[in-house]
Amino acid sequence: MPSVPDPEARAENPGSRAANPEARAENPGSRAANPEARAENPGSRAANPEARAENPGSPAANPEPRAERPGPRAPKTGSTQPAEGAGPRAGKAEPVVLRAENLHKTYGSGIFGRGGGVHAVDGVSLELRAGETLGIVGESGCGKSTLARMLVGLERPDSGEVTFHGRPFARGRRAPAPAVRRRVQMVFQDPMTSLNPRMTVLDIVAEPLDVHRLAAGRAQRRDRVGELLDLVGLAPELMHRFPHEFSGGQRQRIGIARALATDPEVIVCDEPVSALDMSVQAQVVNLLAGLQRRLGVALVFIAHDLAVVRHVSHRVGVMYLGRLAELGPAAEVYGSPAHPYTKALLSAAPVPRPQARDRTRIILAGDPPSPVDPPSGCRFRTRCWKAADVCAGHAPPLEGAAAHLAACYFPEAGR
Amino acid sequence: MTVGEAALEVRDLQVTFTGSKRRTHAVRGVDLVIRPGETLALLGESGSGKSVTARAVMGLLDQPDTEVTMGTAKLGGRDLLAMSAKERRLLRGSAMSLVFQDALSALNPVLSVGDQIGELFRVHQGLSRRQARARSVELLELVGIPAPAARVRDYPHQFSGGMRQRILIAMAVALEPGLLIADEPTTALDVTVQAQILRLIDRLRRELGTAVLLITHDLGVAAEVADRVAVMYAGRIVETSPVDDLYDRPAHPYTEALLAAIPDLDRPAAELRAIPGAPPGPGAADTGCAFAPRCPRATAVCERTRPELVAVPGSPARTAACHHLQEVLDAVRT
Ligand SMILES: Nc1ncnc2c1ncn2[C@@H]1O[C@H](COP(=O)(O)OP(=O)(O)O)[C@@H](O)[C@H]1O
Ligand SMILES: Nc1ncnc2c1ncn2[C@@H]1O[C@H](COP(=O)(O)OP(=O)(O)O)[C@@H](O)[C@H]1O
Ligand SMILES: [Mg+2]
Ligand SMILES: [Mg+2]
Repeated sequence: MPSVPDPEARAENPGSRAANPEARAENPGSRAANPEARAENPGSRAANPEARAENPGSPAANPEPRAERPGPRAPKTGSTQPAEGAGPRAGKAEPVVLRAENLHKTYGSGIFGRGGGVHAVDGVSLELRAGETLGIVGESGCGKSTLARMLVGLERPDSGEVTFHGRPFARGRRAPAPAVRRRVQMVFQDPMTSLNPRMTVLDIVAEPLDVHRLAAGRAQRRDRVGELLDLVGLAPELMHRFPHEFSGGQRQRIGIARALATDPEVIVCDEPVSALDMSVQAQVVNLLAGLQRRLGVALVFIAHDLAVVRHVSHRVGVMYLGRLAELGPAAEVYGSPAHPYTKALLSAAPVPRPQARDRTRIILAGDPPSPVDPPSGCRFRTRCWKAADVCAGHAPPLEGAAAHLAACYFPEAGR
Repeated sequence: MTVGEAALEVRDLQVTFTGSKRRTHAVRGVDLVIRPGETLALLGESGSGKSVTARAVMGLLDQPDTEVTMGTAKLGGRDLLAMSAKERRLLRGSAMSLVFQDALSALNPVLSVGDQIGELFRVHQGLSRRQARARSVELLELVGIPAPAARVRDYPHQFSGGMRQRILIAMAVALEPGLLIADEPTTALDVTVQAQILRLIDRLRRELGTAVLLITHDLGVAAEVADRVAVMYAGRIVETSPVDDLYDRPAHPYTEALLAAIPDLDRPAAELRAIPGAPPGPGAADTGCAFAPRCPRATAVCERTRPELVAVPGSPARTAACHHLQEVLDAVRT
């Protein structure tokens, strides 16, 4: 058999380094102030010849910035676009409910010695405003679930802190106070394993009510559970059944009902539809969006499906190897991505339209590097077609002119 | 092979598992025809019978408590039904091969990748160890493994997920089979790596003329690589079509509903129309159309009589199984 080199993997990229590094060199930004992650690995990978991409600068791969954002809609059933009036779109800024400040989490560094742990989350800061949906996308292992667990207080950060309405939520060794704890809830990915198979739906959904003593007496407990099931589109009569009697989509509804039980202000949803059949995903996406409209709850919506995240989110954060590469309004991040990784990710996502097949695409070489030994500086530089020496030094801070931030020394123009 | 001869022709494939108390009729009369060099996507959600179909075609379901029947089974003109089990076994790997979703469990952890690929050449082509090693290096290069001469001695765990999937594909195309079946080959991979692997499969198809049966649950993946698509629901194919027509003008309400239920990255304003209910379980009764309980177009006849898969009027290249076929085709889509 002939050995054929892959021509697609080689195309050189024209002049992207002409991008203006000075514009960003000043203003190093407080978040870049983590000295540990830098000095190791000086620049050796910057020269990786595999890190080429196909026509990265081509305008065809970079759709026009789009003004037509999912517009305000009448509360039409089935409309899952973020509602008008929620989040930063409302004109005036809503108050910040949850804030993460420079979160770090490393697993297993004690066991492996020499600091060789998994740098799961490495300096993430973000804000969640009342009533908005913040989407988080990124490939598996980039730290989304670790971030989610820290946001709800299920896991303590090694450093950094989470605040709820400005008050420390999880810091150091202290567990969050119950009164705060119940206002921030989580929905998990796998509706098969996250529900106790030996408990009835009534007991599953009522568990947070019991823990936080929110129901006075059995009748009130049962009524509240009936109300919650109704809210998520399940018949209250089903409360005496067990999880195995339900389909995947229904089980996810049960998980959502449980998360709603304590009247949370924030729900962190970690891949809430990824385990569901594709014909069922839209049911749960619509349900979450509808709940947000009706209850005004703020959502963190984590998924690896870019289209779903765009669909539900006001703002989107893109993670790569434990850090935020880009953060901004959904229409801007998707319409005119600033970080090369975002651009590559969007370009690689399969599009359910055969006519789109011939679009110019960026095909990255290689796989994401290991979080045990991440590259110095910008973590994407080993696969980036724009990488230069500066990228191996200090990690680029997450910054930008307005609400649209990127951690890149050579961001895409046209932001 | 003469022009017009299919790389694979299977008619009326039925698979029933009899192990448990209940019989599970997992595949209920599936036809598959793939021409040389063509990519057919078998699209369906989990449990619809895609993997069972693939394993039956590969002859991997010769096992207790499993009934497999086919009306016709031809591979590049060879009649599989007229062969002995041993003859069919020899075709596996050489005339048809299968790439699984999970590359790590499909590779032997205690053999170097060079030895695993080389074994194919030694068993099927009688090459020497040296020759086999040289061919292994060529193949690793073909599928884009950097520094193949050095990596050929490495073991599966020393490669990343994407690299392992490339190695699996290298093994699958090593003997230049006429048919490559790829069962969710990218489902376990990240989207940036998925794009590489899909591109690799497509390039090999072009260069080697292999027919590809690509199994996927992802409408995006099927749209990216398929020439034709067969949509599967509850053990049956409900629609087959050239890829463009399927997405532009679906003929079956299930396809239509799926397309309306998924968000489009480039058209964020589009609204998601959820499909009510859930797919039927494997033991579900088989009267009428399996999609009827979830179908907005269903009428009394759909619950009574199961629609046959028939040619779509005016489109000889398409088939669909729906009593309200014309209504679906005529629907104005936004
Ligand atoms: N409890 C844990 N112990 C050790 N490593 C972990 C643990 N949880 C996550 N990790 C590692 O941290 C990294 C980030 O994981 P995770 O947050 O689950 O990513 P994602 O949800 O984006 O897939 C991965 O490399 C993962 O293997
Ligand atoms: N060995 C088996 N014994 C019993 N049932 C099986 C077996 N393998 C598959 N099935 C059932 O057959 C149906 C189709 O499975 P499969 O082909 O794996 O679906 P998919 O479309 O997700 O690949 C499922 O309901 C599954 O539970
Ligand atoms: Mg996760
Ligand atoms: Mg399968």
